[in-house]
Amino acid sequence: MQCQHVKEKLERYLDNELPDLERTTIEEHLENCAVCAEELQALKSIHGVGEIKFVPDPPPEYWRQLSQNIKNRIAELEEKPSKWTFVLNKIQDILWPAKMSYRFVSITATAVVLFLVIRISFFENNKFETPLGILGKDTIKLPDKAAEPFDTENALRSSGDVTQMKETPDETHHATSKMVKSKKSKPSPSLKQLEGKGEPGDPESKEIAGIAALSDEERQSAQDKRASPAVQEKQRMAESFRQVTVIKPAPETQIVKTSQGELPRRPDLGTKTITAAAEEAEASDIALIYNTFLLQARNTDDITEKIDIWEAYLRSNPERPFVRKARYEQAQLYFKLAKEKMTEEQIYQALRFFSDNIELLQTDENQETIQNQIEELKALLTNMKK
Amino acid sequence: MNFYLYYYYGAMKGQIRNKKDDKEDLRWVRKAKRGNQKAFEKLVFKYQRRVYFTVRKMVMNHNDSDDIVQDTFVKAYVNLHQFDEQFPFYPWLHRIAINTTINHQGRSFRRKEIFTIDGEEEYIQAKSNNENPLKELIHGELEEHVALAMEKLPFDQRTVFVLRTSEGLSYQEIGQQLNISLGTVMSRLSRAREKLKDLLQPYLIDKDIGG
Repeated sequence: MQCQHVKEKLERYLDNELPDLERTTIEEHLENCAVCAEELQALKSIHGVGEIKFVPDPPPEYWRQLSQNIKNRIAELEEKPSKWTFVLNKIQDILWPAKMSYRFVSITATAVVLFLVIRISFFENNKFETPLGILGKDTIKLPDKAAEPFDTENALRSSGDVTQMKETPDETHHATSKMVKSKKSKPSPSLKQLEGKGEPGDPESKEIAGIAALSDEERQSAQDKRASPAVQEKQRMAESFRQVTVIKPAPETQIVKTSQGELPRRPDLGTKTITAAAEEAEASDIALIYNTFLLQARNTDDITEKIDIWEAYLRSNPERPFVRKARYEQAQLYFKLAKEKMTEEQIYQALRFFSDNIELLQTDENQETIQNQIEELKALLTNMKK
Repeated sequence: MNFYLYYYYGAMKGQIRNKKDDKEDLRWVRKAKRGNQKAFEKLVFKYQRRVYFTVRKMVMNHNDSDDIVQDTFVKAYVNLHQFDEQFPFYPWLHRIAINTTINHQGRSFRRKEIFTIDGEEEYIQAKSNNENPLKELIHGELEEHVALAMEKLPFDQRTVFVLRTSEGLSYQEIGQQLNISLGTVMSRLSRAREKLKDLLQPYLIDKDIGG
């Protein structure tokens, strides 16, 4: 046996995985071949590596801890439920039966959500119809084939019906288009009838009335004969455009009974009343304007400029709640200016401002500061006069 | 049944088999099956070290080994009614331990070892037989190098190597345990040996020349 073959089998020889015959031949070879014997020795040393205990011992207290942990975990498994958990489980079983799988619940939940979404979309268009109801209109009753023998005549007739049915929408379309054409080409006869000359029994007038019923606005435009042809053309175009585009109707107001009485409400505003919603929107606008002016005033260091900014704000016709704030702001600036410049003119100006706007300035919060400031200004004036 | 017999002899190879031990185990197992937790605690106390070191050699990490050993015993307790009493208890437990280890490592989360051991240098002496050429090396030093080399092995190769050398399982038993073919067992084993040879060559060559 060659060394190459032996080397291939040495590992299996070491692991006792060779049949006896091969084992003996390898043993014979190893007695004579030093190289292979050395190879085996190296393999044995590696094999010995696995036999030694190369992992460190954990600390001695670990073993007790480990058995305790296992004991606790098993005790948790075996723990008998208390009375309360038993009662709770019962309640849970009633509310959430074990048979009801999560999958079933999720499917029903998605179905309900989908239904609601469809429903809401119909509500938005003010069509209080279920999708099933609409589908129900399109259902066609099929003849019972088993009950009746096949009748060629009937079949032909029914097929004719089908063709007729197919043609009907086209026909109506053609008819309307013809009517529109007639309207456009010959407006004069229709005008006559519209002015009240035509009688209801007259077939011609009936036809014309049908046309007129299509567009009420055109009647008005037609009545105004003085309008130039260009204007008429524009109106007609606008009319046709309006007929084509589907204009989404604005959500109607509903009268809702509340604790405060019957109030008008719009469905798109939720529980808010219309007036409350409008007030809220307005208030947010007012606050926005106030804040922009406040920012402007803060950006400048010049006090007179600040006063001017507040004046501009007040002239921009703001609403009640911020007038007081702006005036107070101005008063503070005047006071500051008077104290800075310490001239008679400035103090007089400030005092005049205070006296002019005293009603607006004296709020619950500011009353004390304002009066103190007035007295301070008066004291300054008397001091200066001395 | 054949497998159990194979396993029985394989796992017990190199260890003194005691029929008394088996009888004792069986008594405790029967009690535990009837719901006696104390009997199972005795089994835990008896085998926890063996299971721990088997797992630790494969995982090379204390925290993971701790988790796996706990899971192993809990699984054993839960599935105790499935245990066939005509076979010894430990090989069954050993099989659960290996399956749990493989599942645990399959989840491929590896936490760093937070737990450090104070007496890390105090290794227990190697179970050396007289043929082992490494026995004369200083124990602490050698084991440290071996542990480092084993850590560098991939998990699958290390598992096969440990099951063959430390646990004394045959190729067939390893294949059945890990659900792999005999060829794969052999190739993994020889690759593990080659790698270990490369990593531990300096220590081995010195010894060979010296001897």
